[in-house]
Amino acid sequence: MQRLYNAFILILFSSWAIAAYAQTTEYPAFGNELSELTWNTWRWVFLFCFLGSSVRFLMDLRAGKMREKLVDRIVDVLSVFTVGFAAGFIVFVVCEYFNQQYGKRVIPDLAICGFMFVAAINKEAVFAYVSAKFQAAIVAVAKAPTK
Amino acid sequence: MNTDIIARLFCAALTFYIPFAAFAIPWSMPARVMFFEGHGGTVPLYVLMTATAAMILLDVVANKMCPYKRCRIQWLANSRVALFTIAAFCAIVTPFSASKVLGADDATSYLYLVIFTGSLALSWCDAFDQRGVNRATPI
Repeated sequence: MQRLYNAFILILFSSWAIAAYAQTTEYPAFGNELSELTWNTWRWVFLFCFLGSSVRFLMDLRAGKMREKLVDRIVDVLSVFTVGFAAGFIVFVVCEYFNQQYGKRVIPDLAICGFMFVAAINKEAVFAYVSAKFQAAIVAVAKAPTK
Repeated sequence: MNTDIIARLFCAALTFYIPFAAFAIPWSMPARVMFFEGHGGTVPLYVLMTATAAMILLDVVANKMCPYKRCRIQWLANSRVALFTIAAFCAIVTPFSASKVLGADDATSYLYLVIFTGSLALSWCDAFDQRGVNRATPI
């Protein structure tokens, strides 16, 4: 249920992102770069999402997390791929938005692809590692001596 | 010699083709991507692809072709799924970069799609082979 709930939330966010992108064809809310991206680029984004989702599917399968009954299996696979596609898509939009805002490509394409892949894998361990790093940074800033 | 070895060698050769083209064929798509993307973003990718191709080749030679047990490299056999996944990942970074500036057409993208699909299929085959789910029906 938790995974289905996550999928539902991410579908909401991704539909918002798709709607925002559709608006950029007439109103460039994301700036020039995102609005000029064509299907030629989006299909590679979807391929990265597919790659990450399939890796997550393999990880779950090998860990024995996929349920055995047919309907349960279909629900599990669909939720993994829905969450993976939505997360990778959102990460791509955010990265391109950062690049557009800075005026130059501060995030290289290799890094964007890596972020999309990791987001599409959507593994709790990855996010736990990143959030632990952020937490440590916040604590270090909070404990820093003040003048 | 079996078809598995041939498929892995093809995967290694195709994975090595992209960095090879970037440095040896100036009019190819990887070379043009390296030109406009800069060396900082592309050279690590091409080094990673070369290393991946070399490790796939080493895995085939040491774990499949060499008849002696002391030639076996166990950690390479264990990370085989990850190797093919990295190969599939790296294969579509270059056309992703090119599509934003050059506009990669279908004919050019076909090669990269083939590398991506083949590497991912090899990864899946190896993962299923290790887990044994494709052996559910006893022969």
